[in-house]
Amino acid sequence: MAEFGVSTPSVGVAGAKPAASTGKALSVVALRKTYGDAVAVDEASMEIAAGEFVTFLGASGSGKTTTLMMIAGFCEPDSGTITVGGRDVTRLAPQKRNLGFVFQQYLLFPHMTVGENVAFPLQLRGVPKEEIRRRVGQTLEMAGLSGFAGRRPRELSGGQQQRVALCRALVYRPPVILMDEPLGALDKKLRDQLQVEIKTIQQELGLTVIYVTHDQEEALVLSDRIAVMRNGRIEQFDTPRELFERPKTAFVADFLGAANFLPGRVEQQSDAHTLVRLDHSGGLLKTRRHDLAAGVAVTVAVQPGRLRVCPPDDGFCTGTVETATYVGSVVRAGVRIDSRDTSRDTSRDTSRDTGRDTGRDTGRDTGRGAPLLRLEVPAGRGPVTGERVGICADPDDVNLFPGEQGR
Amino acid sequence: MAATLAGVPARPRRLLASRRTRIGILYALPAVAYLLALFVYPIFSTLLLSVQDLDGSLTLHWYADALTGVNLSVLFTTLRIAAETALFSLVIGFLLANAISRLRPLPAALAMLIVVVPHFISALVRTYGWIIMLGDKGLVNQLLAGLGVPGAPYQLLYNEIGVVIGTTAMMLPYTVLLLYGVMRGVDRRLLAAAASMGAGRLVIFRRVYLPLVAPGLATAGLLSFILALGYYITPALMGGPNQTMIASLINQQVMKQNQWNGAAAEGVILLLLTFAGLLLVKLVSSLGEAKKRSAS
Amino acid sequence: MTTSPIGRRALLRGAAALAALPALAACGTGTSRSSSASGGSGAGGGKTVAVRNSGGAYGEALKKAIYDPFTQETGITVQVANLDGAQVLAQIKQGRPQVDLIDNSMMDHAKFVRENALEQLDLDRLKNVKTAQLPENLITEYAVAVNFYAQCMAYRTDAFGGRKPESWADFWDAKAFQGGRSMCNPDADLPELEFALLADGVAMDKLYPLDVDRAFKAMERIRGEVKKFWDSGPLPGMLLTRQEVTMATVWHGRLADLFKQGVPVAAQLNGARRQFQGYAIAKGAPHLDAAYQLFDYSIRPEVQARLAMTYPTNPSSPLAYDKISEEVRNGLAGAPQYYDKGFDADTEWWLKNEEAVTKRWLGWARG
Repeated sequence: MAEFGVSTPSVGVAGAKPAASTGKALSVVALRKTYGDAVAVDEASMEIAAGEFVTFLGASGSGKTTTLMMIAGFCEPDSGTITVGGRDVTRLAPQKRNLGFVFQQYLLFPHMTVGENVAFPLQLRGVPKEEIRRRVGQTLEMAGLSGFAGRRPRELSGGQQQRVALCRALVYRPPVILMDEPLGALDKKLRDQLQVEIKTIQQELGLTVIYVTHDQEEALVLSDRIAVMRNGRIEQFDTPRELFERPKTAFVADFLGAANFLPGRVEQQSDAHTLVRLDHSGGLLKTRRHDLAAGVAVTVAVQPGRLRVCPPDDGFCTGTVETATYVGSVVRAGVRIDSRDTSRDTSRDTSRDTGRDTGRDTGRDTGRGAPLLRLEVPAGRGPVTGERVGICADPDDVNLFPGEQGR
Repeated sequence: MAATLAGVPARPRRLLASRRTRIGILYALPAVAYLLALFVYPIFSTLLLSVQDLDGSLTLHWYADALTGVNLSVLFTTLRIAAETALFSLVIGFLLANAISRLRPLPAALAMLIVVVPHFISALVRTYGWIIMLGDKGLVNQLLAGLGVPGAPYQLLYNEIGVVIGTTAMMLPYTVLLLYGVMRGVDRRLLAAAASMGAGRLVIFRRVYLPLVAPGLATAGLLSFILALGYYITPALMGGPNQTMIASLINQQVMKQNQWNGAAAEGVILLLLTFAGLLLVKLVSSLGEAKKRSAS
Repeated sequence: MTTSPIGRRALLRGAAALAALPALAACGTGTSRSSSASGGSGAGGGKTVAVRNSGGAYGEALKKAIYDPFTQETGITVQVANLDGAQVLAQIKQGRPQVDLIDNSMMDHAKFVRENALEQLDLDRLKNVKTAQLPENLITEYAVAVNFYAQCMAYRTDAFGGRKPESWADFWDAKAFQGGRSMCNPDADLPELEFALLADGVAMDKLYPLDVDRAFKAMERIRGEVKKFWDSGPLPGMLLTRQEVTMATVWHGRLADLFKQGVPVAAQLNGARRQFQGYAIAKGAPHLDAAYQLFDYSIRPEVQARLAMTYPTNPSSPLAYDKISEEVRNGLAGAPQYYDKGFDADTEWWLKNEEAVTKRWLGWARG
């Protein structure tokens, strides 16, 4: 229990950052869980460093919660191992793993006061009474809950209850704190506020957190690294920046940034670049080098913010600005690409209000006609509706996936 | 709680003056009349009867009678058996309800049915059933003797053991139903939450589960205690003269001796005992609450 | 306010359970009223008579053997109410009895007389009292006995190596006749002091007034052998059947079922105690004429005999026994060959002493 005895009053709660602030806090190897024929988690592996904030991001049914539950010990994996601080906990009961858990439904003990709730895990660990009193007080103060110790959970608002739950999970300084959509039951404003609080506390105390959410914005705000999950698999486990700029799959590119997808074929390889001939415009697009043979069908993905407007002759394609919406610092524009078959150029139906369409389905209509590219360009030199423009992209900003991807 | 109370003091007078309150009182009238006619009046007439001598003069000798000699020892027996019944039906009811609350709906309903069935069996058939089960040549004793348990056959009928077995069986539907309801209301995820922060099974049970079902336990225990106080058919079936209950004395006096005054006095005593039981539980629970408050 | 939401919910559930109590209790008690002989109501121009009896198998037998034929003969509808004595008494005291004729034990009738709740009988309107040759002691100013039951000894024939207990002294002799005993509880019937005195050597015709001290002293000797003081009629039979006891006091009529089931039990009618059941008319009875008619009808020897053929009860009229088949007669405690072996309980003595004896009994039994 030595780690609880440490007390350096300068820091928010009870002293120094966790002892193991270097090295692995948690590792998961080839974790697999099936329910009958359905594979809930498929060979998930990852290593999480101490002090890291990791988010499992995915739609419902992607396996993110199941993975978290297996780490917590609430459900048992079919195979694979889970190691916490070098200790194999795969088959241990939840109470023997010394982890913290924050639930979406708070799950405060209704028969205990706020103070008793937070003191509970410390009592379990045989921390002396005085020490408990001090640490509970500190923790509640840090969460802005001083003066609430004597209240019952049901007398608190949802946000306050979740703060208490957070206090309860971190007061005993577990090496890893697991959070299962902890802000899912709160309204938007409160959610934003608590995100900041959670992040602040995590950084201040150097907590290792595994966080589950389906909200990509939340994941981007909070995380050091995000595991994007899909169909029980970890699609990509990377920093938000990497995920955003170097998505390994079209799914990740789409899930995080709502990228523009364009089909094409590899035209030729150079030392540094790969050239792609786009199907629709017939233009050539330069990307980072990928080892792909000429003629292979590929999909390129570019985030809206990474496309630029340029003189028509300079771009990898040309098009007509259909919409241009001023949204503060940027202009969101929809550009209809000129097709190789120019006769179809003007036959596009305009029934869809692409201006309000934030671009989620940009490029989705590849097969039906000329795609609409979504751009976010600095407001100053924004394009005008009806203008014919060229579109450029830095090769580094273009991602390339083999095959007919997109969706 | 403090917040809701803060606004109260100034209100009563305004409340009475308001039209809505007056209409409310009007609506309450039938209920009040009903209570007066069916509860208050009979209780008062029973009270009156219990302090009236045969010639109509006031006396306390029915109470003196009821609280001396055999009657007093019957009173103590009643209290003892009621307490034992409450205890056992609580413990067994808890175990059963706990088991049933973990079953899937269909088996749970079936198990509940088995618990409730004895209530719908006539006393006569039940008597016979108990003899077959618990008699010297009954199933239990035959089994024990067959297993070579020393001292078998045990006397399981016509003594206090028999009575408590019988009354407990009769009480079980109440305690099980009550506790089952409470247990179903407990959010099982709270137990998971406790486990997540390191609590073992025993600690979870003691610190989380038990406190959450405690109100149900108090209610169930009190209910079975109070119900058992008024029992006499089962004690008569399963016990001997030493297990005579006060309700049995009341019955004898009214039915055999047409002696209402003494019966009324005993009835009043039974009523007071019931209130005392209620008070005790209230006291214990508020004491526990106070202790908790001061601790935190 | 210490109740958590759960607590409040639990209390509500508790309240619901309490509310369900009366419903459950209703399953257990059988005080329902049933009208009888509705088939014959047309002939009598709506004349009815209401009679109280204790219901059950005995009530069924009464309807079949007496009420239905009576309705057929007179056209008077018989309404049956299975009320407790206390209920009937309360009704009479309020001046609105719901029953005219009361079928009850002679002891209870005597208690009603003390409460001034019965009509004084006009014996001229009960012609059959004479023709049935009822013994004098069965006719009182307020009630007439029509049948009786005997309380006697029953034993397992397989328990004593072929020997038969012959007397109450044998019942008391736990060495010669081993095994548990069962005797009655005052909840069921009068304490069995007479049996104790007979066992102690008092002659049958010298029983009353009972020597209570001596009786309890004798009872003390058997106390340790008594496994259960029975409080309902079928219980001693059950105990004998299940071999929980080898000997029990028993209402003789209840043995018929055991014989039918082939249980190895036998009755010993030596020293049996007889108690009489009779009719009386409620004070202020609304259908006085009809009540007398049914009363008189019930005393007829052939009617008594018909009842005895239906249900093991013993007619009070000696003439009735000739009208009963020999097979049934031999099963009755009142049959001529057994009659002299038993004695009549002294209603007068018990009326005076029942309360005190019962109280003393309870103190004694609780030891």
